[in-house]
Order: sequence, then C-alpha cells, then structure tokens
Amino acid sequence: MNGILSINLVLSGIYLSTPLLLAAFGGLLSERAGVINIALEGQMLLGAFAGVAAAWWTHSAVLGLLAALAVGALTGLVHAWFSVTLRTDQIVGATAINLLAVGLTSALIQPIWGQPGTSPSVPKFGRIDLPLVQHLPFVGRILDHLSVLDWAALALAPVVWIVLFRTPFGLRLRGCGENPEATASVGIDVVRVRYQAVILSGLLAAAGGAYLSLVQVGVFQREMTQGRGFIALAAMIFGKWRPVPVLGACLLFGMADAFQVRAQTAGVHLPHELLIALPYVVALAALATFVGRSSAPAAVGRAYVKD
Amino acid sequence: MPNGPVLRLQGITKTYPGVVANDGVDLEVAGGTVRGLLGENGAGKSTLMKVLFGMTRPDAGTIEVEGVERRFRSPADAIAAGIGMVQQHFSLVPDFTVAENLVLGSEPRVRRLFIDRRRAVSEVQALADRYGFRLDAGARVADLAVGARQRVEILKALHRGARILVLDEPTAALAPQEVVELFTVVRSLQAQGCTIILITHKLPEIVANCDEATVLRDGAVVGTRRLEDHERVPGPERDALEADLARLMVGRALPDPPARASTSGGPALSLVGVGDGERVGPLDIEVRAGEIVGVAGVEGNGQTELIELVLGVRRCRSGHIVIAGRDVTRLPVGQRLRQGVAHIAEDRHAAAVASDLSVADNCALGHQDRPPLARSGGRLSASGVQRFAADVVARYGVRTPSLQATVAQLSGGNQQKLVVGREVARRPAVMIAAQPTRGLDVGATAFVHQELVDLRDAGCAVLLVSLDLSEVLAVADRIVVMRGGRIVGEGRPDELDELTVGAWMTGTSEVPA
Amino acid sequence: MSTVIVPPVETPPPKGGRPPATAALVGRHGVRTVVLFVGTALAALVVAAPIIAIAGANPLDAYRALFEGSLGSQRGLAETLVATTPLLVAGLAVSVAFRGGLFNIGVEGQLVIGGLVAGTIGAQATLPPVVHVVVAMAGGAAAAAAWALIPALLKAYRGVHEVITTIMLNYVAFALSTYLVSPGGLLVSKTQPSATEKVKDTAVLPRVWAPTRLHAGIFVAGALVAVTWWFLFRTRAGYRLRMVGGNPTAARFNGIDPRRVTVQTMCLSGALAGLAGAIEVLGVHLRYFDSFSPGYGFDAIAVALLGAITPVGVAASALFFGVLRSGSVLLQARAGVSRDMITVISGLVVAFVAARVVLERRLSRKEPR
Repeated sequence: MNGILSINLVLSGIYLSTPLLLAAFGGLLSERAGVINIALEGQMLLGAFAGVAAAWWTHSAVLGLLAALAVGALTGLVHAWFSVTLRTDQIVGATAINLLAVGLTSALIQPIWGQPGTSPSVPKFGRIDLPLVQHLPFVGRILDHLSVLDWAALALAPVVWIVLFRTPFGLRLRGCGENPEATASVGIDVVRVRYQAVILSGLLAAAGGAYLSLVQVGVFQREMTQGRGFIALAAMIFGKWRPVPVLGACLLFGMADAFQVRAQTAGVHLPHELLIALPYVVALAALATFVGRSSAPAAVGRAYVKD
Repeated sequence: MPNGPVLRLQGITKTYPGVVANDGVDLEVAGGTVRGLLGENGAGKSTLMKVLFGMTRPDAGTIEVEGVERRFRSPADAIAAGIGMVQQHFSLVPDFTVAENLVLGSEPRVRRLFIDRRRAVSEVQALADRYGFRLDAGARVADLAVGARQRVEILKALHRGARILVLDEPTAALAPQEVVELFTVVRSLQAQGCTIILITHKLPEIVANCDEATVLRDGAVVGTRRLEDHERVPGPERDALEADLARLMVGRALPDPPARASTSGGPALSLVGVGDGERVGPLDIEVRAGEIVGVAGVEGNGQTELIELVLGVRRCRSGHIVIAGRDVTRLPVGQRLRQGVAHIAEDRHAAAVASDLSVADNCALGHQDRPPLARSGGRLSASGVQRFAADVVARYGVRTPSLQATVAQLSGGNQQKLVVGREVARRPAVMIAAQPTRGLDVGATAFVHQELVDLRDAGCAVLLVSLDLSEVLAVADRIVVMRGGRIVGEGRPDELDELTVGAWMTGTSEVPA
Repeated sequence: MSTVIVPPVETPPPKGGRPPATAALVGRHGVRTVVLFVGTALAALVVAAPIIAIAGANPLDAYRALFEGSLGSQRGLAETLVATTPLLVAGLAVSVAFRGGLFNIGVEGQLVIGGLVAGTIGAQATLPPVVHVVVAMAGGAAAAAAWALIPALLKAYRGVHEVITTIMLNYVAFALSTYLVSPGGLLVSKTQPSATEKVKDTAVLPRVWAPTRLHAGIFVAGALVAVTWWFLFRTRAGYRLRMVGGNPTAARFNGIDPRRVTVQTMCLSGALAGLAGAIEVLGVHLRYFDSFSPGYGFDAIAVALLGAITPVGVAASALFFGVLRSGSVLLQARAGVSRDMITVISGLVVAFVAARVVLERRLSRKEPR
C-alpha cells in the first residue's frame, strides 16, 4: 500500500476535490437563496466545453477560463429565468439544462474539431510557483503544485462563509432561502437576489468544469464530467449546506477519487472497471448516513410569487 | 397630539373577476387615534388593506397620507410613506435573530462591506426598550412565543418608520393574557403619536380599545361610529353598542349558537396517560358518544401532537388509547380509521387534500378500501368513486366545475366543505375536528358547526380542537384546556368565563379549577 | 337552531357512474392535451433548427433526412417502432415514478441492469420456448427493481432526494456492468468482447415483420400501456400511489403509509425500466453488450413529460422520439448531423414542458380569494 498512501495521493486528492469544491459552493449559494440547482452537472460540462473551445480558438488558457465563466453565468441566467421568473419545477427545468448540455457539447465536437468524441489538445492552465512555500517540508510540495483554480477553490469555504454570515448580501441571500415573503416585505428584491445567487452558482460550476478540461487534461471529451456535478450536490447535502462541512465533504469525495485512480496505477488487485464506481459509492454511503432534511434552507425549491 | 386626518381614502374600488371586493370605500383616520375596522370574512377588509399597503392597485380611488396624495406600486412605497402592516401570518425569518430580522434590508455596516452586528443588536434593543417591549434583540425568532413574535413584527414596522400601523386580526392566535399585553402595547404606541388601524371581526376588542369604529359589509362602508368612554363600561349602554355594530356588520341578527347536548352515552374515545415522550402528555381525555369536547389552548401547546397521537401518525410512548372499546395504542392509522375515526385536518393543504388531484380522487380518500369504492382483487371501482364524489359534492354544496377538476381550482371554503363532507360520510364513531372553520366565512362556519352538532346528536363523539376560544365556548359541551402538552383545566362552558380559561391557557395567574 | 343555507351546486354532477375512462386516458382536457403535445414537439424542432445550422448543416435537409429515414420506407418505419419500444416502456417507468411523486432519473442504469440480467438468463438458462423469454424478462425486471430498491429505501427512510441517489447508481450500474463483461469478467462472452453470450433461441422475442428487426416487444410495450393505465386508475394500489404522489401527508393521515408506497413506486418504476432493457436485449441485440442503450433512459424523461405522464400520452411521445432515434441514422449519414442532436431535442422538449406551467397557470386561474 506504500505506493498509494503518499504525498501524491494527498496532492491528487486536492486536484480532484477542486472541481467538486467549485461546483458544490455554487450549489450552496443557489440553494441558500432558495433555488435547487441540480443543473450543476450540465453547467460543469458546458464550462469544460466552452473553456476548451475558447482556448483552442484563442490559444490562451486564460481566455478559455473567462469564456467558461461567461457560459456558466449564462446557464445560471437560464436556470434563474426558469425557476425564478417562470417558476417552473426547479428540478425539471434543471434536467432540461443537463440534457441540453450533454447533447450540445457532444454534437458540436465533430463540427468544430472535425473528429468525434474528443477535442485536440489546447493550452493548459499553469501552476503557480510560490517562491517560499516550495521549500517547506511536505506541505511545500503540495502547495507548490496548485493552480490558480485550486487556490480559488480552497479559499471558497472561508470566503463563502464570510459572505453568507457577515455581509448584508449574505443575510439577504439567506433570507430569500428561509422566508422569501418576509425578505420581500422589507423591500428586498427577492427575484434579483435569487438571480444573482443562481448566476453565481452557474459561474462557479462552469469554473469547476473548466478545471477538468483546462487544468487536468487540456482536452474536452464527451460527457467528461461523469456525474461530478451530482457528487458536488451530494457533498453540499452531506455538508448540511454549511461552508466548512461542505469543504470537508468535497475533500473526502476527492480523496476517494484519488484513491481509486492511484489504486489502479499502483497495481492493486481490484479491477479498475469496478474501482471507477468508488467515488459514487462513497457519496451514496455518505448520503445514507445523512438523516432528514432539517438542515436544508426552509424555502429551498419553493417559488416566490410576487404580490 | 396631531389633529386632522393623517390618512384619507376616497372612493377606493377594486374588482376581481365576478366579485366587487371594494366598492367606493371612503375612510378618514385622525392622527394619534385607534380606528377599528370591522367586518365579516369577505366584507372587503383584506382587499382594502392590500390597497393601502401597495400590495394591489385599486381600479379607482385615491389615497392621501398626511395630506399628500400617494400612489403605491408596492409595499415599499407604502412603507416609505410611513405605513406599517402587521399581518396574521408573520413575515419574519425564523432562522434569524430579532435584530437580524429588523435590520434586514437596511443593515448597519462596518468597513462598508460587513454587517455591524454589535450595532444592529444595540440599536434594536434600544428601540424595543423605548416602546417598552419585552424582547431580547439577540434571541432567535424561532425560539419566541407567538405574542413575542408579534411584538417583533410591530417593532419591525416601527423600525422602518411607520407612523400609521395596520394590525390585521392581531389577536387571532393569542391567549387572552397575551391579548391584554398587545393592547397595552397599542396604547403605548398611541401615546407616542402613532395612528393605529385595527382590523378584526371581534366586537369586544373594538369596543374596548378603539376611538372610532368603521364597519364594512359587502365591500362598502356601512357606518362609522365614534366610541365614548362611558360606552366601554359593561352595562346596557355597551350591550346596545355591540348589538348596533353587530347588526351593521352582519346585516341581520347573529345566529344562535347550536343547542347543547342533553344526553351522552358511554366513552367512545379515551386517552389514559397518553404521551409522546417529548411534546405532549401524559394526559387523560375522555369523549363520550353524543358529546363534543372542546380542546382550547394557545397555538403550539401540544394540540397538533395530541391529534397525531389519536390518529396514530405520532408514536405513543406511554398510556393507552381506546377507540370504540378497542385498545388502538399499537395499531397503525388505517386500522384506527376502520374503528370509526374521522378527521378534519387543521391544515387541509398539509394533511387533507392533494390539490393537483381531482375532486373525485380527493373525495375517495379514506374510503378507497371499503365497498362500494373497493372491489375484489385490489381493484377500485371507478363508477363507485364517481358516484360517491357526486354525492359528497351535491350534499355539501361543493362548488366545482366538475368532478374531474383539480381541488386547486376550488376556493378555500369549497375545499373545506369537501373535506368535511368526506369525513362526515365515514359515519364516524369519533370525529377529530381540528380548526374546522379556519378561514371560512360566517355562513360556512355555521354550516360546519351544525355538521358537528348533527354528528353529536347522532351519537358521535366529537373532539373539537380550536385556537378560537369563542368557537370552543360556543359549540363544545365540555372544555379541556391544554398548556405545555398537558390538560391544565376542564369544565362546562356555562361554568367558565374567558378569563378563567385564559388563565389556564397562559398559566399567568392561579385560578382554582 | 340556525338555518343553514347550502348554496346550490352550479354544475350538476354527472349522471350515474360513467367512469372517466376517456378523461383519464387522454388527460382531463383532451383537445388541449393534444394541442400542447403537438405544440411542444414542434417548438422543440423549430428551436433545434438554428442549433443544427450552427453544427454546419441545413436544418431543412436535416429534418428531411430525419423523417425520410424514419418514415419513408418499410425498413425505416420498422426501425422507428423498434426504437419506440424501449422508449415507451422506459417512459412508463419515469411516468409511474412521477405519479408517485418521485423523479427517477436512474432509469438508464436500471435499464442496463435489466438488460444484463435478461441477457444472462437468456444465454445461460435452459427452458422451454415461451417460458424462457418470460423468465428472462421477469428476471431483468426483478433485478432492476432490486437495483431501484436502494434509492427507494434511502428516500423513504433517510429522506435523501432520489434524483441524486438514482443518478449515482447509474454510474455504479455502468461500472458494474462494464466490469462483468470486461476481459476476465464473470459474464463475458468467450467469442465477443464486452458482451454476454448470445441469447438462446428459446429466449428471443420473435421478429414479427420480416425482413425488418421489428420484434414482439412492441406488443409487450403496448400491453404495458394498458396494464399501467389499469393499475394507476383502476386499482387501490394505483390510487394509493397517486395519492402519495399528490400529498404524502394527506395520504398518511388517511391510513396510507407513504414510505411503503414510495418504496413500491420506485421498485415498480425500476421494474419497468428493467423490462425496457430486457426487451431491447431479447428483441434487438440478442445479447447484452456494453453501452447497448443510446440513452433511452434519459430520453425517457422527455418521453414521460411530453406525454403528460399519462400512459397513452407516453405511447404517443415514445413514437415521436422513436421517429427521431431511427431517423438519426440517416441524419448522421446524409446531413452530417450528430445523433447527439436527439439529446438536444430531448432537452428542449423537457424545457418546453417545464415552461408550459406558465401557460397552464394562465389557463386555469383560481376563482378570486
């Protein structure tokens, strides 16, 4: 087992947690404002696709990331329009986004790149070299290998906590998720706050997707998110909609993924076809220990009707 | 004290398809006074207040506040003009503290980006203290009692600069002692220059607390009357005044309360030492065949849990429940219903109907396992369902476009009639009626009360759970009072008065039983 | 005693006991349902047109290819019905779950499990002709129902939302089935990689329209429409299912155990999904092979929603998606448009059905107050 439990495991655990963190905190913001977001999966996939497509056209990973963020925000806008303005069933509307994301990204690979199933390689996102930390023992090697997005993802937990619990925006956002009518009664525009939260949610999920394509592999493959948006959602629920536990849940699921990947290369005698299922099984097991919905925001999934 | 009208409504008219909710309403309220607004359900009070608070726009008419004509497009406009509204359903975020609820939307800040939490608490506490409200600004609203939440709601309006305060049925869910505290608050607000509009259908509250009373009926003002202090003293003058207002309000003499039971049989429902181990019990209640037992109490004192225990939806941790001679303590809901229990739920949308299913399907609920609806081999007779639903609809006058219409398409009153009809059709030995008239107009209320009385006269045991003390006093043959999940008092309505029952409900003063 | 005036009934209740058979079959408002169905399908095709253009094809050519491929020949027509079969059964699976208040997004995984087990029984067991195919289908249905039991129990007793658990189990089902037919896997064929052995003749759903691939599964699917309708609207178990879907608390207060019904509903939905997979394997491919389903389980969501979750509506919308699926072959070959465009159209249909609530809200306003 020496080959598995190593510093590299921790490192790849963090790598694999990053997309989950980005998406899970996206989900957290949306649901804290009262809108269920099971479109995370589709938003990640569209972000992954848009990132690679833009990076391929512009030869710039940075522009790729920006394009992914823009597309993510757009998908958030669509989800908000459905669930906040039209007041459709939030889960059915998001399912439409997920189906469209799979269909669109798969159907456009061939017309854009002239080859089926996968894009050519594009510029990848670089790591950040920190002059001092790399000399630290153990931690240094981990910190040294992180990209901007890893840093951003790890910073999300404290940042989201502060925003939610220490700023007026956060108070209003939580008000919309707990009791939108009461929040509206003091003159807060619930529709606007929910739009902001859901757009932000799409943006973060797309950043998670762009991480998969632009940082980890540098190509787009059809359906490459493989349910990570749903695992992120599971992490958000397992973390009881609270920033720090959600961070923990994402790291746990990321580690499970890393263990699975490394077990395959380290020659553990378990078939890799089965090991692939490990992150999903861990997420299911985590949800099975979770009791009730009592910690969910009171008004999550409930449309707000003005007047 | 300011003089002249601070609020003047002229010719307010508002129609909904098929209904004229307000028909040229004129209303003038002088500054620093308490105005009572009386009227039955459906008289147009709510619509008028929605207009006043910018929640809906009138088809015609003008609103003047402090001499300036205003057009309210939203509650925000009304708030900006100095109008505050305390509705029956509080608009508070239970998960937030009192202070957070008050500063929401106008948070004090430090370093521009962050909430100044310390200042929020101290400002709110200062405001509460200034008006003499007993409140802890740092407490979580979810942990407060109903009366305290109402004070938070009032404080919220004041915090937002309200000078005219509208209280919509403020005593509906309060115990008598909390009502006393509320009107102390009202008077202290008046002393500080606030103008108050009190919407209610309870005459004694108006007579005791208002300077003037306006009566609405069928969407129009039918009279406004100044109340003199000497008229408030109990006596013939006050009786005449109340009779006067009542006639204006109803447009006819008030119906007599239904007759009391003369005889009752053996116990049909008995609870001995029953409790759920947390919220309710241990308690003993016995309801005899041919008797209506009323359960009074302030909201949240175990009434809901009591009903759930009797029905078997909540697990019984101690004691025994006997229905029609059979110990049902360990039996599931379905078997208890088969023992002859029927249930009018306190919240029909939560526990009685499926709004998206048809009227026919909803009528069948609870009847589906017995002939003629049930057929052999687990089949359901479609024609049986249809006939049964048609019968309920016809017998109880449920207005519905068709039996296939969804329940969501019916008005609240018709939904309730459907539920009452369905449950009465079980020919129950025991009827559990929880808040059976909540939200119903006077006609529908009388109808439901009569149904309960008819059941009683037919030998059914009725357990009537209600937050409306006057309803319990009017209909029940015997009353028990719940507080903290226990029975704290018991008696016959003719032996009891509101203050005694109120004392039991709140536990504020010891009155011997 | 007060007099109680019972207001007159505005519309007289229907005479006698004519059952609302047609109403339940076509939905409450027959004409409106049909108009909404056609409108939604057309809207999805219209909105998909510019996307096809972006993908570099002429939308008109594409649609011509699509419909020619699916309806323009005997073979195309047969292939349309072949594709309709699993879509119809899987669509019923999604619908039954919806009726019971559950969103079963795990139909694809359940379908794979059902296909795998049916294929294995078909290949390994030795049974008389009719019995064999019935046992194989029943086995596939039972296995998929057992697979659905996991999210069912998590939902009923843990309150975990079924959307997340069923989708997780899709990935687990894919991994498990891939493993079982991978080299050295328990069920892999000796001659064919990533597949089970060929199904024995006794377990094959017979072809019914030579020389096409149309098989008896279409009749099974048709029968399932009738059975599902009968179950939902003519049995007490179906009534309980619909009532729990409508309001679980009201059901509970009236002696129906919502947890039990939830578990039953999810398992029933899973069984139907498993049947869809079994029929596909026993009727079309004659062996289970990895990724035999082009996403029938996901299209089924659109099928169910477009069909307004009524059995007959589902049959109609399955036919629509059957046209798209079978036409997509020619679409790809002639117009150069990826078959994935069908998934785009599915997504658009779901979006339009979701957005339809706005229209329905307008059409059925409550009486005031």
